Amino acid sequence: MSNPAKSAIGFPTYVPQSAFGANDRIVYGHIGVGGMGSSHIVGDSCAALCDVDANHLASAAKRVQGKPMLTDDYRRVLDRKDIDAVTIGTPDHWHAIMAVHACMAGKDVYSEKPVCKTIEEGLAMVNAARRYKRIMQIGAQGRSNPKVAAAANYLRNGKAGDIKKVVIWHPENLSSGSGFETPSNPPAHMNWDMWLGPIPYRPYTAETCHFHFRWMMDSGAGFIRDRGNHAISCVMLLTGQDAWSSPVTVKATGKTNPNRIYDAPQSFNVTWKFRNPEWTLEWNQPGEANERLEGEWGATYYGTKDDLILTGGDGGADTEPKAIDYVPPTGGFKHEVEPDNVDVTEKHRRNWRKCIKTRELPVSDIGIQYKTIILPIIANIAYVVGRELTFDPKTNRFINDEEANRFLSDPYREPWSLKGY
Amino acid sequence: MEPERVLGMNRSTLILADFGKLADQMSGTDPVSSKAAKHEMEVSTHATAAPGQGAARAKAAKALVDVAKSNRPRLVRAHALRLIGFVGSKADAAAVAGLTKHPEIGQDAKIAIKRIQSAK
Repeated sequence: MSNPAKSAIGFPTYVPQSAFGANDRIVYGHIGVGGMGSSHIVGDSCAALCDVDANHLASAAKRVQGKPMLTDDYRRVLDRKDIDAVTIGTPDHWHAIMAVHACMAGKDVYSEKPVCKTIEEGLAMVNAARRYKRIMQIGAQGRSNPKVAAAANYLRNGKAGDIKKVVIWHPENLSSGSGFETPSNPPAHMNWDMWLGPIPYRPYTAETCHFHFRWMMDSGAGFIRDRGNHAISCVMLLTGQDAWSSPVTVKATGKTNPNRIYDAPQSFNVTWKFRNPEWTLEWNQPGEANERLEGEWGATYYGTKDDLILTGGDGGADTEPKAIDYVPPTGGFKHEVEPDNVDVTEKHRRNWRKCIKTRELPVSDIGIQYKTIILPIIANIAYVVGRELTFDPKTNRFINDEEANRFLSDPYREPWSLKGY
Repeated sequence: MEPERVLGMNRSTLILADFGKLADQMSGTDPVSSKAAKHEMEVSTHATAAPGQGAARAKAAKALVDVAKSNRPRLVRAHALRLIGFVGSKADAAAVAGLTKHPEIGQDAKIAIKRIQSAK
């Protein structure tokens, strides 16, 4: 089998999927093709496009060779035996159901961040990937970013000593201003019932649909779970805590905007306290950038010997020269990213495609990303119930809080279920 | 901006909200006032469910059942059902079982019952 990743070193060009050759060709179905989902379309190897907004479908279809199936029902994509893999770029509340059902249908999965809404969903995604032996990459592409890798190499080889505290800064949710849109009938190009899918009914408004679904707890839950998936994924990589396994205590406070419909807190402050080893993670929304290296969002890592800044942590990132110039020792920790000279998100997708062929775990495997997404999920629960909580990752439950444990799953509207379709 | 959501941690003495009054306020036409009432119902409900608040929790659930079974607007009754799912008992689940076939809030009632049944 050819290795397009290696053959493309030094050439800043996109290697079309057809370059794998007819026998190795991966056939894709793309589910959710507006916004970030549209970036995943493989134009010359796509058999189906799915979106509940017909405008998204029409736009995406122009980028695909041939005549792909167009549908607003992802189940029709999963029914296609000729499709090997699916990308999922829908709002958050669909990620887990679609990913689990895709595994059941024998498809490999690239699902956008955030991983999922609930603990039950995250566990179901991990279990489905393992049970059905599927490759599931989560679109937390910071793990394919060379700058993130440089920061990880610096810290994981002990250059800053033991990391005791990480402070993330991030702007507020984009839910400022005032005014409530009057609900209306959904536009003709929108299947609103399918957009809602598993979440409770709410009337259509543009201000809670495309992009802005993020500021509603049912469908998005704010930047803490959205960009937070990126930011915390980087934190766990840089601190070596992907496999964290001791109870974590979480405390969260925030303020919503009373003059907009949104119920996710516009400002939000969270503190997680970890054990074995003891360290603290803070999310400050808004927070102040570290003056040594400014960026819209990022984190400062405080160690016993030094500290380090990483700004961003998705497709864009930067870190300090001492980390960029650092060469890991032979035998030391080295985080590998795809070598092709392409943008970070494409590196991430290439890692997924490579793993589809090798059946190795991808760089942002669902197992790692489930452990990441636990942290924003439990932060939101602590905010909603208004008290400090302790979560045990071994039992996947809160300790001594019966009500908080009722948030571990979000029962779905019928007929949706994680058990199948 | 509304007060920070730290009610459960800051209130040394729990004051049970008047859920009927809040439900009426949420039913009104002023969206800012309606949202404030919805928010207060939610904060008060979860405050009653802090460990050790058994009696207040049961009272809150009963009041929310009354709202769910009232003739108030769909989204108000649905909100009450959502909150019942978090603080309700098996008896509260039984009390709203008759709503599961309601054309507008039937799914909300089913979700509330499933959440109660998931409690260990």
